[in-house]
Amino acid sequence: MNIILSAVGGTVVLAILAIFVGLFLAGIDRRIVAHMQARMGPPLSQPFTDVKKLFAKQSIVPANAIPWLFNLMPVVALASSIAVLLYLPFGSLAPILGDAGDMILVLYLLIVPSLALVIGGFASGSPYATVGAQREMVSMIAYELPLAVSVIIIAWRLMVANVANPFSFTTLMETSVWDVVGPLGIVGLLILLILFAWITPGELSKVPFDTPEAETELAGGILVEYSGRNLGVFSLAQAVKTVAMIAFGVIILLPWNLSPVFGLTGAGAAAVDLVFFFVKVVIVSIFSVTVVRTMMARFRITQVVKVYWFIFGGLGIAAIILLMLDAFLMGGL
Amino acid sequence: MAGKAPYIVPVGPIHPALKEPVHIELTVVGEEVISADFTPGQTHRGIEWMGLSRNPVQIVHLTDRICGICGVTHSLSFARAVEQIADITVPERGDYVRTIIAEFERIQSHLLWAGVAAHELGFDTLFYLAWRVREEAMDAIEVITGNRVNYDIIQIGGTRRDITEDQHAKIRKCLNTYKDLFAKLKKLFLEDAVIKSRCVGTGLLSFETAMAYSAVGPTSRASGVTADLRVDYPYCAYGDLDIKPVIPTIYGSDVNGDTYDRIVVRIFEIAQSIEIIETCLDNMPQGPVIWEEKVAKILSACKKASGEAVGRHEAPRGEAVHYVVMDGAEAPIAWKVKASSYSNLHVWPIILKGAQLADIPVIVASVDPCLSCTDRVAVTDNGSTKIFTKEQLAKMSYEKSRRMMQ
Amino acid sequence: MFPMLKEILVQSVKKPVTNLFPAARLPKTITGFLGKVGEGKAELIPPVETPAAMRGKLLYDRNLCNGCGLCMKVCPAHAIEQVVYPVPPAKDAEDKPRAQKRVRIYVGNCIFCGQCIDICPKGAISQSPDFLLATEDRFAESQIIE
Ligand code: SF4
Ligand code: SF4
Repeated sequence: MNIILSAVGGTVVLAILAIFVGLFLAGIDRRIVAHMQARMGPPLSQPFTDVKKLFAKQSIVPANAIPWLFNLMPVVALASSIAVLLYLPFGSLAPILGDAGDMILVLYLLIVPSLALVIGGFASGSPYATVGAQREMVSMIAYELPLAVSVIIIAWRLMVANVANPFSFTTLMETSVWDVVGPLGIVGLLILLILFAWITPGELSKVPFDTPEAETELAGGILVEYSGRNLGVFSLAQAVKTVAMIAFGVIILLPWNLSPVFGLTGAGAAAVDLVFFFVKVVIVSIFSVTVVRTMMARFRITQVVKVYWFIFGGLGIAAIILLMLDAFLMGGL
Repeated sequence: MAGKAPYIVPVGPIHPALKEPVHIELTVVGEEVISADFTPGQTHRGIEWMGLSRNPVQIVHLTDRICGICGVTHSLSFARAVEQIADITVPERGDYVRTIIAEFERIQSHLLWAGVAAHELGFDTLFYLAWRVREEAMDAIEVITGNRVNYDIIQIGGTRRDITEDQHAKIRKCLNTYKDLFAKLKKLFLEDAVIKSRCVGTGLLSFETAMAYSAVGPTSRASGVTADLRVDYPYCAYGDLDIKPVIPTIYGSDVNGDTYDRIVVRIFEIAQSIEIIETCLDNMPQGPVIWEEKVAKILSACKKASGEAVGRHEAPRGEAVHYVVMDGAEAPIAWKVKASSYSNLHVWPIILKGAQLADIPVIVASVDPCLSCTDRVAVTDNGSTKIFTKEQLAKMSYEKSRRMMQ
Repeated sequence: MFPMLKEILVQSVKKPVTNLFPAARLPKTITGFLGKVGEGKAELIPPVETPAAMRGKLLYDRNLCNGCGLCMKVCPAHAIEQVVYPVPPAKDAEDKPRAQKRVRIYVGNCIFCGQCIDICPKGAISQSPDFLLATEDRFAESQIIE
C-alpha cells in the first residue's frame, strides 16, 4: 500500500516538476532564439501564460473529426510523456518505478506521444493535418534508426566491459560509459553525442525537422485543428517530452553527478544532483535545439529521411566501428 | 488516409504562406503536386474607380496606395502617362530624384522579398536579419520623402521634394552600409546548404515559358530573359546610366530558371541599385525638380489636356503599366493599372507542377506576388461570383470603347 | 555550410536592436501606464527618432486661411470639408462682415500626403512630425483640425 501511495505521489510531483521544467525550457529557448535574432523576446514566463490562456479557451472539434479519438489523443500524449519520466533517474534520485524498465522500454515509450499526435492528426480530418500526420510517421521512421543504433551500441559497449545490467538506467547513471572506453571509444562517443544532439530536434519536431508542423506550408500541420484545452494539453505533453528526451540523452551520454565531487551524501546530494541534472538538460537543450533551430531553414520531408538515414546513419556506423575497435583493443572481446 | 489517390490541398485565400489573399488549389499525390490552379480577385479595392472621380493631382497620391511596397512605381507610371498627355517635360534634376527614389524602393522591396522567402523556407533568423537591414533603406527613404512607406514624392511634372546637400551624408551612409552588407547577404542567402538544397532545381521556369507567358522583372530575368525596361526603353535618368539587366550568370552559374536563380537575381539587383543611386547622386544636374512649383497651375494644365497615353516603369517586380485617357475634364475618363505581378502570377501553375508540397510556399513567393496591386476586377452579383469568358470580355470592352468614343 | 551559425553567435553577445517603445514589457493597462508616465512615476521609452521633414499630423491656422477651398480640391482622401462660420457683428460703420468660409480636416481620413500644404496660397496649413495619433474615436477632439 505504502509503495503504491509513494509511487502515485512521486508521479504527481514528478509530473508537475517536469511540466514546470519543460515550460521553463521553452521560455529559455524562446528568449535565446530572440536574442540571437537581435530581438527582445517574450518574458521567461510566456509559455506558462500561453498554456494558461489555452486552458481558458474553448476546444473546437471540427465537423469532420472523430470526436473521441480527437479528444483522447492529447491526454494519451501527456500521459505517455509523463510515463517516460517514471523510468528515468534524475541525478542520484532513483527512478520512481525502480528498475522496472530499461532503455529499450523508454525508446518505445518515447514513440507514443508522436503516435498520439499522428492519430490525433488523422482524426481531425483536415487535409493539412493528414499531410502532417503522414510526415510525422515518416520522420519517426527516419530518426528512430540512428537513435536505436546509438542507444544499443552504448549498452553493448558497457556489456563488453563486463558491466552487469547494461540496459538499466541505474547502471548507466552509476557507470559512465566514458570511463570504460579507451581513446578510440572516446572519439566514437563524441560522434554519438553529436548524433544525439541532432536527433533531439527531430524527436521534438523543431526546425529544421519540423516538417510535420511546417507553419508556412501546412499552417501548423498535425495541430492545425486543435484549439483550447486540447492544444493546451498537447503543449504540456510537448514540454514534458522535451524534458524526457533530453534527460534520456543526458543519462546515456553525460551521466556525471556533482555530489561525489563535493563529497555530499543523503538528501543534500540528491538535491545538488537534481539541480545539476536539470542544468545539464538546459545546456543540452540550448545547443541541440535552440542553436540548431536558429541557424537553419526547414528541411523537406524527403531530405529529413536522407539526412537521418545517410548522414546520421553513416555517423552511427562510424561510431559503431570505433566502439567495436575500442572494445577489441581494450581487451573486452 | 486515402493512400495515393489525388487529393486537393487548398492554399488560401488565408494561409500562413500567403501574405495577401489569393486562392491556390493544388492537386496532390503523396507529397507531389500534379496540378495547380489559382483564383485571384480576393482583394479588389476599386481604386481605378475612385480615380475616375478625382483629378490627376489627387490620383497621383492615390496611386501611392495601390501597393504598400511599390509606392513610387505606380505614381511614377501614372505621372508619366499624364505628363505625356498634357505635354509636360520633367526637369532633369526631377528625373534624377525620381530615379534615386525608385532604386531605393527596389532595394527595400528586394530585401523585404528576401525576408519573406527565408520565412517561407522556415528560416526565421534570416527573415529577421533581412528585415532588420531593410530598415536602413526605409530610413533613407524617410529622410528623402518624409514617410517610410507612402512616399508621395512624385508629382505630375517632377517631384515634390529635392534631395538637398545635407541629406547626402545620410544617404551615403546608408549606401555604404549596404555595400558592406552585400557580401554577407550573398553568403547567407546563396551559400546556405539548406536553402541551396531546397531552391536549386525547384520551381523551374524555362526561357521559352517565361517568354510565352510574358513574365516580367526578376522572374523573367532569372530564366535568362534579358528584358529590363530601364535598359530597353530608358526613361528618367536611366538613359544616362550604364546598366545591364541582371541575369543569373552574374553569380557565375548557368541560367536554370529555378527558385535559386530568382534569389540570385534579386540579391544582385540590390547591388546594382546601390551603384545606380551612387552614380545619380554624383551626377545630379542643378535646377528645379518640378516643371511648375504651383500645384494650381499643374491642375489647370491637366484640366486642359486631352488624349491617351501609357506610362511604364520597371518596378521591383517587373514592368508596371498605367493607361490613362483624359478629355479635357477634371478627372480622367479611363485609367487602367497593370501591376507587374499580373504578368508573373500566370506562371504559377507551370512552376508549381511537379513540386514537393514543402516547396510550395517558396515557389509561390519566388515570383514575388503582390496581389492587392494585381487584383483589378471582382464580379460579384448578390454574393455569387461569375466567370466571364474571353469572348464576353472582348464584347464588353468593345461596347465600353464605343461608349467612350461618343 | 551554415553561414548563419557565425551570425547568430556574434549576435548573441550583442544587444537586441528592438526599440522598446513605449515600455519594455506590456504594461497591465496602457492607459494606466500612460497616466503613471504623466505623473512622473513611470518612464516612457521614446520612439525611434524621425527626420525633421517627416510628414505627420497637420497644423492649421484658421486666421490665415481665406476659405479659397483649393486644399479641398487636391485632397486625395476627401479629408477636408468646408465650414461656414456665422456672420460676425460689425466692428464699425465701415466694416461689412461676411460669413467666414473656413475648412475642417479629419485626421482619420487624412493620408498625410501634404498636398494641401503645397497648394494653400496663404500658408495656412503646415505639417508637424506628430505621428502618435491612434484613438478609438475618429471624431475625438484630437482627430479634427479646425
Ligand atoms: S495631407 Fe491630408 S488633408 Fe492634406 S491633402 Fe493630404 S490627405 Fe488631404
Ligand atoms: S487652408 Fe489654404 S487652401 Fe485651404 S481654404 Fe484655407 S487658404 Fe484655401
